[in-house]
Amino acid sequence: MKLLTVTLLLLSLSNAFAAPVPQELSPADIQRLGERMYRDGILPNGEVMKAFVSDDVPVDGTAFTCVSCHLRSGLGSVEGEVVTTPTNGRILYEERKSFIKGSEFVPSISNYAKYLPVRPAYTDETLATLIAAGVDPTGRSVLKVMPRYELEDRDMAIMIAYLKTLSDELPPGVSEKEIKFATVIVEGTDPVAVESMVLPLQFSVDRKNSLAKAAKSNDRVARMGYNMLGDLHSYTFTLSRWVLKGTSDTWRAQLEAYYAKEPVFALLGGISPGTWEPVHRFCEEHRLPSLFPIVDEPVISASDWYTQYLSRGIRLEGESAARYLHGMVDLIKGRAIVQVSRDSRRGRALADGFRTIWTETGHPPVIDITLPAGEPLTVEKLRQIVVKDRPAVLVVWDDASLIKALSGLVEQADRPSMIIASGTFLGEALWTVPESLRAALYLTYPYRLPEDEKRFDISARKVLAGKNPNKYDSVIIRQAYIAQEVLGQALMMMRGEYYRDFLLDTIGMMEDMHYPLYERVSFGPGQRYASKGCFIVQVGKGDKPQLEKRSEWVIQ
Amino acid sequence: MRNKATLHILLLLGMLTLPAFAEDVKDPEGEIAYVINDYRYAPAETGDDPDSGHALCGTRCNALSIDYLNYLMVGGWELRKVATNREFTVPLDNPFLKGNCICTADEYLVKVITRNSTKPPAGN
Amino acid sequence: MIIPLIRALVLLAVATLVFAVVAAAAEPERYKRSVEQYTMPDVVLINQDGEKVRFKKLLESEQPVVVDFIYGTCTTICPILSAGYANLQRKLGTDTTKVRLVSITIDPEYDTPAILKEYLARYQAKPGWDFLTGSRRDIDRVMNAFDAYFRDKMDHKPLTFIRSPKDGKWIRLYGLLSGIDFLDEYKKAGFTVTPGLSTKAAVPN
Repeated sequence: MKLLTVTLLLLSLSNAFAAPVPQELSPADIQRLGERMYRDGILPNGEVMKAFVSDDVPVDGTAFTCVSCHLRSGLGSVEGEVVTTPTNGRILYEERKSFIKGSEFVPSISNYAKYLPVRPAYTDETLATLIAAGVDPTGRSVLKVMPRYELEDRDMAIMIAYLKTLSDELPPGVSEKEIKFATVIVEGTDPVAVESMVLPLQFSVDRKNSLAKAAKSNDRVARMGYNMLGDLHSYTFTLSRWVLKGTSDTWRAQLEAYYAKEPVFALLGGISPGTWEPVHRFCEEHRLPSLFPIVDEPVISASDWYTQYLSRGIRLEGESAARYLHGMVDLIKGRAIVQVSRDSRRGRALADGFRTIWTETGHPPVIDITLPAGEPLTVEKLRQIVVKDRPAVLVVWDDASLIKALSGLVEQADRPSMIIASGTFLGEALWTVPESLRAALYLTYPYRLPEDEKRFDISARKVLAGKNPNKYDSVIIRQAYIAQEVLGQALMMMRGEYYRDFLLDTIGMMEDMHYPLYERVSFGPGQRYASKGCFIVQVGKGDKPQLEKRSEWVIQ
Repeated sequence: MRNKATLHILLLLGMLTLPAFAEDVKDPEGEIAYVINDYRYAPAETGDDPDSGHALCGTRCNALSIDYLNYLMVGGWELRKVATNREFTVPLDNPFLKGNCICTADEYLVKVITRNSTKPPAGN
Repeated sequence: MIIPLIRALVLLAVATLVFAVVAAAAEPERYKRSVEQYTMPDVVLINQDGEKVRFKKLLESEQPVVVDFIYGTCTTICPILSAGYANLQRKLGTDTTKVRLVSITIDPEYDTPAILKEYLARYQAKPGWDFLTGSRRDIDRVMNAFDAYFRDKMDHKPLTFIRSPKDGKWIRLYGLLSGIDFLDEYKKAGFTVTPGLSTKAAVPN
């Protein structure tokens, strides 16, 4: 009864106005203030938005707000049994009609939303009532999970004006028939790597275009295509190669020129032997999605939105080593841990990853020793370190030359009990680790183990049909394969709403995937590094050793 | 002509939708996979820290566990359970703590799915 | 490529369910309740401070224990469950540690202790509310122990469990509860929420 009274009171209050958008505010102001309410739960006056959820539970906008459920695009979300409907003006201000049963098409992702109950188009008044009181234009109370927001008239007007801008006009690069993509290639990348990256992407684009072409001339194919891909079946894709030349400080201008000439919907794949930062920044500023560039050093950020990476790059191995070691830190009892790292791009990233997590888990800094670039690691150098610091654990980030130096060290009586190195930095040389070293050596390995990967070979071979696999990089082929798979799945789930933020929202709603190369890749709203795992392995016994797992895929 | 084109297109669509069948991969008859259900630590000496041992045996035993989705989601493989809660002992293999781990696991045989397939797996 | 088809069917099922839920809105069943006996696995999880937690010991406590399954980046379900936890802590007054609130991540891939800590801060969690991550296999076992296995975080369901130390039984609540419902259930388990006073199981008889 009390609840009913409160609801009626809210209803009467919220129905009492249909405040116009404040005159003094420019569209940019509306965008900024509305976005702050929608994404951060902060009112235009800087105070925290207040709401009630589940009838009577007070919540602050900083804990959760519109974006938590309706996502950044405003086009809603699906999680388990809970479907959150779109909240953008374009859809709200249209009547929702019933889904007609007996359609010749099997209902698919592209039309699931038609199962939602019918309602008339919203008006500013009825939308204000919904936000304040949770009652829709039919008089029906929406699910209790929609918070009831306490907004002043002026703030409500700003909010409604902002909702009208969400996912409103189609973004550049999308027309009714075509979606444009580009892939960025940094000049100087190994040509084999470039071709290995482009091959799966081009394969996917060609395959999609064949289907669109076939559907045009054949009704049956069109129907099957629709059932499988929804509205996407008739679209064609384009894929341009944007080659960046010269030093990285000149890339921005080159990217601007490419983009001005051909605005694309998203960047797909991409490859650089070094930095990716200028491309990352460009995408943030143009609000341009960039899916799975193949780089060792992605930009690490908890809040940047537009670039989805395969993983945190090589630093993930350093981070995983620190987490693994954290699990046994009580047993090391104050004995020294020494980190030796090569002063190279890879060495620095590995060392920084280790250091960051080691500090984050609450430990005092380890003894850090940097090897100058070009000076080979010798057994004498390692012996000096061991004699001086007597470490229990030696973490050493260097390339294959490391194996010889370590082999000399293991014969020493007071050698470290545990040696940790990077499996990918060693490369193929990890198979040559001598037996005498294997018991003490623990390696980071950020991929599925080779014997398990065999089950997934078929996916890579589909792309390689008729080609010589030895001419391609097997890791990069798989990485680019993942890029096109995720894009394909996401576009199918987008049910015709090809908006850039919604592409990233949709990837964020995807289930964990079991693709080639990585044991598991996973997504989530705002998650931007898909593969989070890295095994700790040891090299097994014998002439043809296998890798033996000493940890699970993800170490916490 | 039109029928042939349709057939071609159907094959194309088929390629897009069918799960990857396990062709050209040798039948991993006898390959055993474990899903770990429990673990405990068996100290070598009385002074060994049981709490650390228990946690490290968690890591050690869980490392032997498969992620079953990595077998089932790829398509073409199945897991046949051959034992439930089988116990086995592995050395802890940690340089800072001696002792063993007793892992309890469901045991599965990894099989290539041959039913519904028009050709036998290569190697048979 | 079969996965999209499966997903389409799942979404269809979801959509049908939503339709059914909305159609039945005249007399909504707010949540499902049952009393269960569960056996907890002896696994080691990690809390928001990176500390190892012996899970079985944590739960088999003399204090009231509430458990839910959430994750750091989840959309609709977790905000509601966590707002419920925060609300209960507010009602408890100054001594929030008298009830043990436990959230367990179903996304151990992403949820590092740092993510857990940030999540709790967002909900202004007070002492007594722990958020646990750990090995995927261990978390699978915990989910199984509660008969709440989610194959994927996108299969998430809203579940809350309340344990009475009196008999070690669990009240299983399935649904998104209102604040009043949650407090009622908590009291039904035999606990009081009088601010400032110690919370004890009011043993009948």
